[in-house]
Amino acid sequence: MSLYVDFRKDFAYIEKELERSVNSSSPIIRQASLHLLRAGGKRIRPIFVILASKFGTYSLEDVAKVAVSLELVHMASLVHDDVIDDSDMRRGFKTVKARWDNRIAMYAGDFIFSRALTSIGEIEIPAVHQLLANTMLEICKGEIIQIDHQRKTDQTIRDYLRRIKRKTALLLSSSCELGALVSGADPEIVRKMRRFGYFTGMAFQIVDDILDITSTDKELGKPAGSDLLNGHLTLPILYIKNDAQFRPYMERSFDGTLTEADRQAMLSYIRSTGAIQMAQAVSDLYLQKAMDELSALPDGEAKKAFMQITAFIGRRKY
Amino acid sequence: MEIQKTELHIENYILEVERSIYEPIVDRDVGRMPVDALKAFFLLLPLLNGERWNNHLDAVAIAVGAVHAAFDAHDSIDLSDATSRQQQLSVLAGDHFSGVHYRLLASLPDFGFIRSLSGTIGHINEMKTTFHDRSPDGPAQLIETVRTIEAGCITDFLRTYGFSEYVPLASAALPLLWLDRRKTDGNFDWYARSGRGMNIADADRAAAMLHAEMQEAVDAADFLEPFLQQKIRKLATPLLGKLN
Repeated sequence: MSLYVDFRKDFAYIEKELERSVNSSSPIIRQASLHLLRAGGKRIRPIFVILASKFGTYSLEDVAKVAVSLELVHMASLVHDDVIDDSDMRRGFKTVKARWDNRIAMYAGDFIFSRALTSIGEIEIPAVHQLLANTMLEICKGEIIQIDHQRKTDQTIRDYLRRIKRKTALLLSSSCELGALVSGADPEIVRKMRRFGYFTGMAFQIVDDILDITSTDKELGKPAGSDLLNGHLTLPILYIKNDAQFRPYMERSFDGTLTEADRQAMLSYIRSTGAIQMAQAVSDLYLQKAMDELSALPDGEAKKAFMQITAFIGRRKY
Repeated sequence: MEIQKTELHIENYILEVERSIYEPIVDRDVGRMPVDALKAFFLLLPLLNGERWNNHLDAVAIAVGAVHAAFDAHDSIDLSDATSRQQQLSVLAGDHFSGVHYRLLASLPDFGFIRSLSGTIGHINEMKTTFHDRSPDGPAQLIETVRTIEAGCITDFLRTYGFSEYVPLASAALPLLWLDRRKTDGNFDWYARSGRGMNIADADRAAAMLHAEMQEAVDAADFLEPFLQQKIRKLATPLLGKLN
């Protein structure tokens, strides 16, 4: 994306800080952490922190501490999620639990989380810590609820939206808010950044859930339809959960009897129902709200980049 | 009277930790994570000994308890299969308890201890990882490893808040008591369920060394109320018969 080019220097500094922060005396932890960092990812949280900080008094050193911390919190949660979902592949790479074992994944995740706190611990602004701590607890609550909702077909779209708010939108919202806070931006801008991050995060997760159905295994780096195979009902699925033709697929996904041919047929069927378009429309609504928040912000490179990201999220294919 | 008061402090502390880490779904499906009374005793030792204490220290001590609960939850994860609902929730319970510790420290806010404790937690996880594949080599390495894992957060707390004189007691007693539990249970698996056996001769030698270290620490702890000295000596007494 071009915006990564526009902020290349800042971004390179943050990447270096990320690598430095997971340096460890344990060779396994070092390997596991670098393995995760090099598997890439969109680094959307660090870029949100950078851009939101541009609305205040920008200090790359402080911004990096917050950005590194948020990316590490995200990374740690992915390592633990792979244990929960028994996932062997992520972004086309073997997961930590597959390469080593569950226990190493637990320790590596806890180590990375501790380094997130070490990084942000350098920022002595109480509101920053209170926000991050509450965000982390809410994310965890969202995951606990997701387990509680697993394979439950009586959940509603409202349940889903609440869940993704905690699972994804809050961390993006906090990335924006923390970026604005750490640069001492005006409280109204901080508020707008929080709302922008939240709307963008909702759209981002809905698109992610759509891509789980519309992408190929190769594009995803894991089997398409994994959400349903793991018992998670996403927005497209909620639209068709009572469809007589779809229901047997869903039941077989849940009881582990879905064959490879069934999986392919199920994905084709979901794509043909219009559920994807309905979910996309909800995502577009959130993106529009995100754009509305941006419109009142001062013009400049950060606003322009945020607009580009919002447009990218709406049409992303990975 | 003093002993009753001590027990009451520990009971209240355990209740406060349990209340702070409470999560209804985890509580319903996994159950309550037991809070280690011995760790609580050494963490609260300055308070039990009448040192100046305040609400700030109360909150920090609860945060340390939440970290221990997180470790216990994550140590209960199966090596190869964590797909049962209970195991999945145990992973998340550990993350939740970790978040609770951070929220407590952030609410104070205590930036110094956020930094210090996060360093200790990182180091403990490095130790656990290093010795996940191979047992520590010899009694000295065994002591160092168990000491870091079992007493690291407590000694960090004691040092940070000006109670350094209590560190030798906690750092000798907690690894010693860990070894004793392993011996009592007949479980010589190196760290929880790793499936790798600890060298029993090394464990015995380590226990003897720690026992001597603890006696020395108690003898030197003339600042400690006699009933607390006695209690610590009593904790180690059952071990004497088991040591070669």
